[in-house]
Amino acid sequence: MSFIILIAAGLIVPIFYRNNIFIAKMIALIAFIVAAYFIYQGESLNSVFPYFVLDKATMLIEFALLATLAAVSLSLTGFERPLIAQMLFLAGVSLGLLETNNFFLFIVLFEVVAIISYILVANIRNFFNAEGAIKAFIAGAVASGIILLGFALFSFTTDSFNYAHMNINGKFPLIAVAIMLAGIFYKLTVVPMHGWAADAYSQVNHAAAAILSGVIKSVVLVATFKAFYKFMIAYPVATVLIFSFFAVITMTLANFMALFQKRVSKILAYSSIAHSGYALIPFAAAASVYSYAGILYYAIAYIFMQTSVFLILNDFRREAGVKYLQDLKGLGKRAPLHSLFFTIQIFSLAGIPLLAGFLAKAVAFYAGVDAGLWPIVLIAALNSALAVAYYAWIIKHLYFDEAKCNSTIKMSAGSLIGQLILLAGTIYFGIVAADVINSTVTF
Amino acid sequence: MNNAVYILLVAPFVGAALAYILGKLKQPLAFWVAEITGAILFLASVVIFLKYSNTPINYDIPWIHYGNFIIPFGIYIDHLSIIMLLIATGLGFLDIHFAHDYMGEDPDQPRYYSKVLFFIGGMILLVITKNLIGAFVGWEFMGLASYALISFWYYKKSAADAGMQAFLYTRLGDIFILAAIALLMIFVGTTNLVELNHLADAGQINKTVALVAALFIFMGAIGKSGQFPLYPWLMNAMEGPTTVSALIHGATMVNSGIYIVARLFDFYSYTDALFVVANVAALSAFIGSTSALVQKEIKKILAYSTMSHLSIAFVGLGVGSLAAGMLHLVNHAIFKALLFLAAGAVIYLAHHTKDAWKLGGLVKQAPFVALFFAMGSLSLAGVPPFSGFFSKELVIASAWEWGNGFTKTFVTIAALLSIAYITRLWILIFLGEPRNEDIAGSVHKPSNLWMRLPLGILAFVTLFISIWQSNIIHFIVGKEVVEPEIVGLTAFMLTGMLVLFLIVVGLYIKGLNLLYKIASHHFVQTIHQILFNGYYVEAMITWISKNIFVNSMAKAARWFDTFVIDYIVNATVAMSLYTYKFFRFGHSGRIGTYMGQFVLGVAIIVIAILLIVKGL
Repeated sequence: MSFIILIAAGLIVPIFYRNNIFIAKMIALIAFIVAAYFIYQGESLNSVFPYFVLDKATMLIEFALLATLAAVSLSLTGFERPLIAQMLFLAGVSLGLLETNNFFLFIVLFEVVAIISYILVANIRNFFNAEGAIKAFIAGAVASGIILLGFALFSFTTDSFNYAHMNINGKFPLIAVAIMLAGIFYKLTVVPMHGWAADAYSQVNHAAAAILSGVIKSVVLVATFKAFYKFMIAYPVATVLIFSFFAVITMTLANFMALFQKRVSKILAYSSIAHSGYALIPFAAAASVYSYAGILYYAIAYIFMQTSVFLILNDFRREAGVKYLQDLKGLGKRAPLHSLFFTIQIFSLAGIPLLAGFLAKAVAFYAGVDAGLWPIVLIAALNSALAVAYYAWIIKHLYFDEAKCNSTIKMSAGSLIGQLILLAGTIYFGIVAADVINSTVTF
Repeated sequence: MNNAVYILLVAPFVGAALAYILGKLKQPLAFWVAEITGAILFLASVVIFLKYSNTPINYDIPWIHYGNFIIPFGIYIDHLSIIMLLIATGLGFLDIHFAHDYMGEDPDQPRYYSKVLFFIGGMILLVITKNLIGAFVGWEFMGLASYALISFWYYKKSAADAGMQAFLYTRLGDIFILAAIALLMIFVGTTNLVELNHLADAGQINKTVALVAALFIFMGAIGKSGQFPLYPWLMNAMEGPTTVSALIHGATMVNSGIYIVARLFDFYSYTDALFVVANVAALSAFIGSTSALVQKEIKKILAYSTMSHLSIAFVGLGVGSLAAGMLHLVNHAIFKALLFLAAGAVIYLAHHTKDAWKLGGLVKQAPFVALFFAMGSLSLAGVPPFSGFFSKELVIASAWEWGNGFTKTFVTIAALLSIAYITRLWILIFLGEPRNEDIAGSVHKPSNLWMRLPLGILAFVTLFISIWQSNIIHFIVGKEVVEPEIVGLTAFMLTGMLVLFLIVVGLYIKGLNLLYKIASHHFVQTIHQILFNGYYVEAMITWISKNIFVNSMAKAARWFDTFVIDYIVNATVAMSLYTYKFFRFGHSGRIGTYMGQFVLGVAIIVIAILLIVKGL
């Protein structure tokens, strides 16, 4: 039901957004709220289509997703208007991706999400945007090819696509899964499939980057965990070795790369890649009963904070022309509200307690320790400490340096409401841990 | 959860945010948000009080819980909490109300009100939490709010320094509480306040551990409640606005040390730590009351009297009478709030003159303030039928019955001296001729609604609350308490007070010349100096921290930091730059390179899987 509402709203919105953006935003907002209501009633895709299951954990990430997309829709202006419709389509498809229990649908919906992301980045305004969009598109195309190759191989060897009844024995399913994972790693920007992301996140329009790096990544994270859970349980040694290896190189490389960047968007892009590394730890610890809680918490925390920082950066770019770190100087005085939100969300990314980022890391790392992977967790903890260096560097530029000019920057109402929604998420999940952890008990 | 409890937990913080944001838009809104929030909080407390039916409100909600990792949290509201809630929210509300005029000219009102509400939130959290960890959070919230409010006028160096001092002194105590939490976690396995009392009752805790933990918690209480030797911050805290002194440093926050000991009363009784509590408190009571005799500033006199009276309440607990200690805490909170607010009114009238020697003759200009101040003073001095009389009597009777010689003597002297310093203060402010030309002609007129009403309410309460004295004791302890029979105690106390009163009146009204003559003697001068500087404890602490901590230990640590730690840190810059350059090879920005890496990644995964699962 909620799927139909979101898609229908997505079809109606384009009529309005050119003439009256307010109506378009209201339609989107109402659609998100009604969709959330139906999810709350347990009537998402599962009430209309087979192959979809709605449980408590899925519900939780779906609420986070809808809230985030609503926040993004509210803060869009100017030439970003067409994105409002994309938000609605993306929401609908993401619900499907999160709820499905069928591997075939997982692959199809994953591709649909990929296509929506190409359309998002196709909002090209200058040469720079174009470069990012092309990189995202080519990398995505190659990844799609690889995923489909793996899936083709997999489909020859299994009788059922249901998660619970898939055939996982034998050499071919395993190789097929390996190939598919490689393709999915591109979306999760795991090193060495990350090259496109570092460029694309920083070059495309920041609003689109917020969706790409924040929303889509979180959704894919949870959906992938559910889809591949059976394999990870069946082959524990391979799971631990492969995911640990990629987790470690991803976070280490991304953090060192982020340290010396001058472009703010590039720092955030690499930080996003580093977070993929942390998020792989619960994958490696799939044997632990807390792994799903770790993934879910990470996805929920990440969706709020990453989306928020890119949206504020978008405002900064539009209002103050911020590109490089030195452009941030003195913005703490010129744009106090923006800076406050930016600072809190960056603290959350850095993992400061009482914010969602901290508890997400705590739960994810706990799963790692529970599975006996404490060396990996130790490396991850050291990496998070390293990451504070560049996060703090951003804050230092905001508040402790003199501004070049004194014009103040006001926050628009839509942007303010959007940021408040995201901030509420970050703070709520930073203090109340029981919701997420209890929801995963039945998994 | 109970709605009222929800409101108490959340409303102060929401109110603090709203007061700041709305106040920034329109200045007067800050006050109104604070006033309404204060009223709501007080109503919520009253609702809890009225609905209370001898079964504590009890919720166990683990804050974070997965695996074996638990951070407990819980709500526990019983008699003790309700009394403290009523004090914190009731006095908080009156204080906010009073600030309307007192802070009326300040341009920074949004900041003021949001900090005050934040403070009240911390206090509420402390008194309704079930767990030492939750209590510690509330405790620190209050410490932060206290720091922020003392240095509210941060552009004044003295205020900024006083805030810093308060923060550091109380922090020294807080570290011990943290240590106590760790100790209890490791050796007892719980930090649940209720459970600790039960375990102590059943005798299931190792006595040594319990004694150390109890003393550590008492160290925190010493810092927060201004006991010897960590009291100098309380005197300097008077740099803050008077309304802040009234609420935080007179009536509520400084009580939290007593509250935490009272909350763990069974635990303390079990460990014999009460012996230490009683003796430290008796010494502090003596220091406070004697130093108060010679101070010049109105607020400093009140601050020393606060210290002395908190110690009297502590003595009550220390000699084993929960009822005596808590009753004196309640009465003291009310009359001290009254005295501080009345002092605020005086300061407001006299255009922010704080030196009592520069005032005088105000009784003609402000008869009502003088009356209310006198009522507060009588209660503080312990004159019947004011509330102070009964609770002080109860503490002293308990001390004589159960205390040792040291406790008995010092607390009695302290209790008697209170009439001397408060009479001196009242005479200096209200009688005689104005000693300062500025206030001779014009004073601010106190408004009825904003100044006289809260004072009147407090004066009324302090006069009549003793009617329900036995009910309050019954409510706190849950059973009847029989006051120890000491023959002739009341007569002795009243006679002593009368003699002291006559001496002070004689000296300050009739014999100022004689007073000057006595005071100019060298020996008296020396004693005066010692008392005026609070027995030089502040100087001693400064000396110790400067010579032992800063100049020796900190210097050694600094050497290590500069030459070892910094060297390593600086080396990491070169190392990370090198790593960065190495990693950068892969990031040419060409999509072809990226796709090459991509294929490499796929190859790694597939080969790895084939290698690991070779058996297939």
